[in-house]
Amino acid sequence: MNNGANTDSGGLGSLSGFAQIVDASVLARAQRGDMQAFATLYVQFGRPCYGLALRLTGNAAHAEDLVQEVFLKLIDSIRSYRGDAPFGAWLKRMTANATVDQLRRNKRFVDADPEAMFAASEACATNSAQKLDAAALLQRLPPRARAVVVLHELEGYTHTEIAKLFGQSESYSKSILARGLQRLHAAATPDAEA
Amino acid sequence: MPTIESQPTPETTAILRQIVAAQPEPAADLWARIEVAHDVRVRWRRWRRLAGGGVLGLALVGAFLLHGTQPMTSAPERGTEIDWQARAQALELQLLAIEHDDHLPIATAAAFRTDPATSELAEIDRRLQAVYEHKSDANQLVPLWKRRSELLDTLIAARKEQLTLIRI
Repeated sequence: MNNGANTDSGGLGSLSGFAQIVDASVLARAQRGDMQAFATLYVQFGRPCYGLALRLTGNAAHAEDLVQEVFLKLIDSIRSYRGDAPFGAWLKRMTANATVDQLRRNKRFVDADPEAMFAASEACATNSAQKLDAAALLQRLPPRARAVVVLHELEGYTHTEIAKLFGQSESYSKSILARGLQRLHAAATPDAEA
Repeated sequence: MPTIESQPTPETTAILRQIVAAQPEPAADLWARIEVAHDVRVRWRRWRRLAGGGVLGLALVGAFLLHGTQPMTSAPERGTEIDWQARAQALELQLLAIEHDDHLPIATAAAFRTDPATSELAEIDRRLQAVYEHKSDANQLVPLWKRRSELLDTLIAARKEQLTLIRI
């Protein structure tokens, strides 16, 4: 696990809820297997984990499954947490990794050709109500582009980290991000889109 | 692929801010579901461990029953009547179950060589292989399988001790 990058270091990432201080005694109890301590960690971080998984997958049921998967993994692996990175950053990375792994298992997501990816998502129609809904605008992006935008713009991942996560090059990540942002901008400004 | 330099526009930034500030709530019963899933997993692991122990128990009972039906013989002869091969295989399954269920690290080749029990185990495996390959005297097999069982007993005891230490 890469604990080196504290992805809560600034920008919009600091709003996502992972940049919270965890009580050392709660962590110590969790590391001894105390389920009450895990419940406390869930109260603190369940929502940020769910929010990230939902932004990446765009599906509430999948996001809940991912939160469950992440917390079960946390229960198994918290003894290996040594405090090298803030706990929230560590948990965020677990959530992002689990979500991207799940997305990569999805056939739609595997399509690595940006042209095909963006062309396919053109077909998704939006109505005026959706234009007002930021989350719906994000959902208009193809899954991979959405993931790149969320991880880079909201969670503070670098292109190097994203490239590693997706098994692609940095220039690929940059290109997907640029096109994703252009698409978001076009969707947010109907005049420009028309 | 050409790289396009791009920064979010103010409109895009506003959308992103809205998205990150939304903080959607998961279902209220999600933690309860996680606890149930955790309990199920713990029970399943216990069951697997018990099943591993059960296989060993059955192998031992089988060996002892077999032994009990034989006429009384001297101690060295009795030793040869236990199915050491079956016992060694049952012990190996039990060891694998312990290592798998508790995510114990798999020994590296170097660790395998330096651990006295595992290095002797590897040596015995080589000798067993040689006996089978060269179709040598089958009587050579019994002491090898017996020694293998003894070493696996030692390894299982060591693994259990390691588990206890981890759980403190």
